[in-house]
This record gives sequence, structure tokens and C-alpha cells, in this order.
Amino acid sequence: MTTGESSESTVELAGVTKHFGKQTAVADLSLQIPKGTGFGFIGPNGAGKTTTIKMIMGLLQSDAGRIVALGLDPIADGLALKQRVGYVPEQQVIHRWMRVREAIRFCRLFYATWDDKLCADLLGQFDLDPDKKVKQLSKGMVVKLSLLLAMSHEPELLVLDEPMAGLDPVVREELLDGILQTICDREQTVVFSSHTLSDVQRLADAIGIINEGQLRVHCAVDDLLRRTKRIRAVLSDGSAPERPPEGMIWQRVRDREWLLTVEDFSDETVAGLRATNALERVEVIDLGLEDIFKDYVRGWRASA
Amino acid sequence: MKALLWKDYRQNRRILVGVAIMLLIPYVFVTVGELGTRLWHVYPSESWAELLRMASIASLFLTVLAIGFLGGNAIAGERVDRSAEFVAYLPIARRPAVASKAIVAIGACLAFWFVNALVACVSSWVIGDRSLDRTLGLVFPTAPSSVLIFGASWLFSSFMSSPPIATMMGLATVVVYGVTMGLIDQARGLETAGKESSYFVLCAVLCVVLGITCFVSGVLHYIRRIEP
Amino acid sequence: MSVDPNLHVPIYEQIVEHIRGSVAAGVHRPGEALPSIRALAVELLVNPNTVQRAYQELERQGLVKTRKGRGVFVTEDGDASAQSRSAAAVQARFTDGIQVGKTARLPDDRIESIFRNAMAAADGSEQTDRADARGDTSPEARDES
Repeated sequence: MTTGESSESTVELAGVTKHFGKQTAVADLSLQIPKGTGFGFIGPNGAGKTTTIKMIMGLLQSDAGRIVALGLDPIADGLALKQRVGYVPEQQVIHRWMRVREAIRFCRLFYATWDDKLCADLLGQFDLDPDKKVKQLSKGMVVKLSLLLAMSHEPELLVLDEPMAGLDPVVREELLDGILQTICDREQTVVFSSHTLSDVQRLADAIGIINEGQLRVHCAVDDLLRRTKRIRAVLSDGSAPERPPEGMIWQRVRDREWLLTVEDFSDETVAGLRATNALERVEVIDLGLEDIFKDYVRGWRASA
Repeated sequence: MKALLWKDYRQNRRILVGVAIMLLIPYVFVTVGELGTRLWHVYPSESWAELLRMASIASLFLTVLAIGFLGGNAIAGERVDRSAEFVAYLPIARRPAVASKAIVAIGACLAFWFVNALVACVSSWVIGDRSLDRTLGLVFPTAPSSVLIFGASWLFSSFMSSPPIATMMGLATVVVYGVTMGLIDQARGLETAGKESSYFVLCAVLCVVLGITCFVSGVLHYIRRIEP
Repeated sequence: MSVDPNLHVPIYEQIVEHIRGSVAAGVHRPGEALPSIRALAVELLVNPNTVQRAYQELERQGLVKTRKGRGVFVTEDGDASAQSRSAAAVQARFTDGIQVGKTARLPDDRIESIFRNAMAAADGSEQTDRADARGDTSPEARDES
């Protein structure tokens, strides 16, 4: 993978909107994913992650906006795009009567860039029995097969929709290992959605937090960790928080303790807080990705 | 293309086997009946040619229904277990995909129809008299109605995710068509009703045209739609 | 080496810390090569861009140097640089500890005596460790604390 400094984007979304009947699944979503980087979508259930991913793949048509993936229109140039993309859906849908070797034999005929050696290596690494039928495989094994089929044709773009959902930690590690070994050797862009934030932190260079169809946060993981802090302030007797600071994501007052999480934290934030509120003690706490995510979601829910 | 044909054959194998069994039932029935007759001398024994003729004609009528099953399952069958979504995210063009489905389904329909029609005609020819004429009179109408039921079930299958409902809609289409043409015939005059062969020919031709139109519409819809 | 993705510390910083610590401890000597980006990424199960970022930061700090096509090597004065960084890390941890004490409203001299006791205990256990390593289990060695 490159340093991601290339100005070339692998995936571009501009003003993308999708409705299902009266419900808006995705609203005016815009982002760019540079080549050779990992991008993670995170968000509560039903936020629009799968819908966005399906639109990038050309499996759903947007109602408004523009999508470009690998320089192609996912709907108009769908066939050409699918040649160069490896996709693992949220729910596995491979024909259940197919044996592992039959599924491989079926898929390899459609891809111009299929690499038999890579496929054989992954088959061994994932420890898949070629003669077993898909319906006989455990959930983790089916996901591994799906990943094998997605990676064996050396795609430029890997799109994974919650690949680790419902899998035990050992299988998750095996999958991560498989993904990383393959992307290390090739200049691939990875777009994925996940609820497992530790996996997101491992794989992603940048993340997008989606809530109710909108992209609310979009930045590099390291920046987010650096800029988002929780402040624990002890309020002076009898006082209530006067004015929360700019960029406050979430807050909670309990007894004399005022907990609040802010984005774009700086020293001025604390100074400003002390100036406008009667506080006895102020403590700044660093947060992990999971806490930051939870605070964002709690804050949105509270203001909804 | 070969891979697609293999996939569609395997996907439909259960239905094909089920249909084959269903179409064998009349043959089994007459065999058992004849063996029973010979054992207990209940009815006078029939010749094997006569038995085969009866069985094959009964099976031929069942074949029309079976063709409805095959048409209804052709496209919707892959949506029931969601394996259509798998085909959708592979770089497979819609045209060869639908062509493969059509070849497997139509091939099976033709095979089942021809086998029964052949047995009926050959056995009638063996019997002699005017048996063959009577047989042909029964066999011929099954052809256009098969085309219509297949075309209609196929069209509904293209839109839906439920093979049984698609089949039922196909069957309903044939019934509605038959009733309509019958009523028109009655309306033209009671003396001529059911007697003019030119009217039957017209009905048959219209039936085939309708069936082919439905089939083509189903194909075009499948090629154009975005969802799997 | 392993990284914890659940920490508030970005993964690349954790890698920088680990390598700084191992250079300061003498695990990686000046002139020796560090693992390749690919190898470390797979071992730690992290994005290779993250490893690259860590190596770039280490190069910026003067601990390592990239030789095109050959890999990443510890610089000649790398260990000295690592040790001074370690000093900064120690200071950061002490500051955290002091912060905890102050928030709990402990008086300053109490915090200082805690520090002295901890230092003495660490020296004592270190003596014991060295004695064990020598194979010397004499009571004198154990009585040092």
C-alpha cells in the first residue's frame, strides 16, 4: 500500500441520496477515498452503511448524486467495475449446494485476472475443505470462502460489508491476517464497514461515521483520537453548567461531576470552559475509538 | 457460458427430478392397475399400447402444469435463497445469465413434452384404427398452452421472488385465456361454437404469440433491472 | 510486540513507543535492521500505512534511517536518542500519577513520599532479579531492600 498521498481517488461520492419509500436511507453523502488507503464506515445499525456500500458496488441505484469507483460509473460500467473489485457482502449468498472447489471453479472463469496460485495459497491458509458444500460450512468458513473468492482475482478495490459480524475472535484474526497479507503485497484500496472498532482501528487510515444516512464525521483515525477529548469537571457547589463549549459532542451532569466530550480540543477549550462556568477542577481524559463513537451516537440521540 | 449452464442445471435439479417423478406417476398408475387386473381379473386386460397411450396422454396434460413449474422457478428460484445476489456481484453480464436460464428451462420443457408426445403417438400408431387421429387431436392443443403457460410463468418469475406464485399466475393466465376464447366462441353463435377448426387454429396461434410475447418481456425486464 | 487497538493512543504511536523502548533497552543495536513494513504489519495485524507512519516518525526523531531498497536501520546515535525519549516518557507517566494524586486532593509531600517508596521498592526488586540471574540466593542479596 502507498502512503495514500496520491491525489487520485479510488472512490468518490458526491451528494448521494437514496430513499426506500418514505424512508431516507442515505442523505447527501459526499466523500473521497484515496488510492491505497483503508476506509472504515462505522455507525449504528440502520445508519446507511450497507446501502452506501451497495451503491458503490452498483447493486443499488442512487436517487440523486454521483458515484465514481475506479474511474467508472457503478451502474453504467457495472461489469467492468466488478472485474476489478472484490466484494464480501454482509450476508453470505453463495449457492448453498456448491462445493468449495465448485464455487472456485465457477468464479474463476468470469475474472480475467484470476490468480490460481494466490487462490491455492488462501485455500491452504484458510484451511478450507474443497469438497465440503457451502451448507456444511460454519459461518466463519463461509466468510473465509467469500473473502477468498473476492481476493483471488487481485482486485484494485476490496469492499467488505461487516465481514467480521458474528464471528469468534480466532476466526476474526485469521480473516484480518488474510486481508493484511494480501493487501501488503499489492497496492489495494480497502473500503469496509464494521461494528468491531478495534478492527477498524487496525485496518483503517480514515473513518466515516454515518448516522441516519448522513456522514457526520470524516477524518483520519489518528486525528480523531488526538482531537477528541473528554473533560471531567467538578462543578462548584450549587452551580449548573452555564454554556457548553463549541464542538461539544455529548455531555452528562451527575452530582457535581460534569462530563463532556469535545471535538477539536485545544488548551483554549479548557480556558474557555473555566471562564464561562464555575468549576473547581478540570481533568482531560484521552479516549479510544469506541468511546468516541459512543459519545457521538449518544449526543446525536440526545439532540434528536 | 458452460459454467452458467452448469449452475442453472444444478440450481434447478431438484425441480427437474420432482417434475420427472410427477410425470412418471400416470405410467406407474396404469402399470399397477394392469398388474392388479391381471392378478384378480377385475377388468378385461388392455394391450400395452393402449395402456401407454392412456398414460402418456395423462402425463402430457400434467406436463403442461410441469412446464408452469419450470417457468415459475426459472428466475425467481434464485431469489428465494438469495443466490441471485451472488450472481449479481460477480462480473456476469445479464444476457448470458438469462440465456442460460432459458436454455435449461426450455430444454427441459421440450424434453418432457416430446417424450410424452412421442410415446402417445407411437402407441396410437401401433393400435391403429383412427387412434392416432384422436391422439393427435388431444396432443396438439397441449403445445400452444405449454408455450403460454411457460411464457406467462417466466414473465411473473422475472418480476417476483416466489416461484409458486409465479407458477400460479401462469396457470391463471392460461385458464383466463381459455375461458375468454371459449366465451367469444359462444358469443359468435351457438351453432358454430366448438365446431369451426379455423377458430381453433386462430386460438392456437394467438396463444403461442401471447406466450412468446410474455417470454420476451420477461427477458427484457431481467436484463434491464438493477436489483438481482 | 503487540498493539492494543482499544487504547486511546493511536496505533502508530504505540509502535513508535515499542521500538523506542527496545532500542533504548539494547534489543535493536545501532546499525541493525528493523523488521520490514510488510512483516511488522502482518505480525501486528495492522494496516501497513500505519507501520510506515511509525517508521517515518522514528526517522523524524532520529532513531532510525531508511536505506532505499535495503530497509530501515537503527542510527548510530539511535540508542542515545531513544534513551532521552524514554526520559520524556517517564516524565509523562509521573505527570499522570501526580495528576491522579492532585485530583484525589492528596497533599504534595504525600505524593513525593509515595514516589520515594516506589523508587526504593523498584531498586530492591531489581537487586533481587540480578541476584536470581547470578544464581545467588544468599540472604544478603535478598536483604538489600
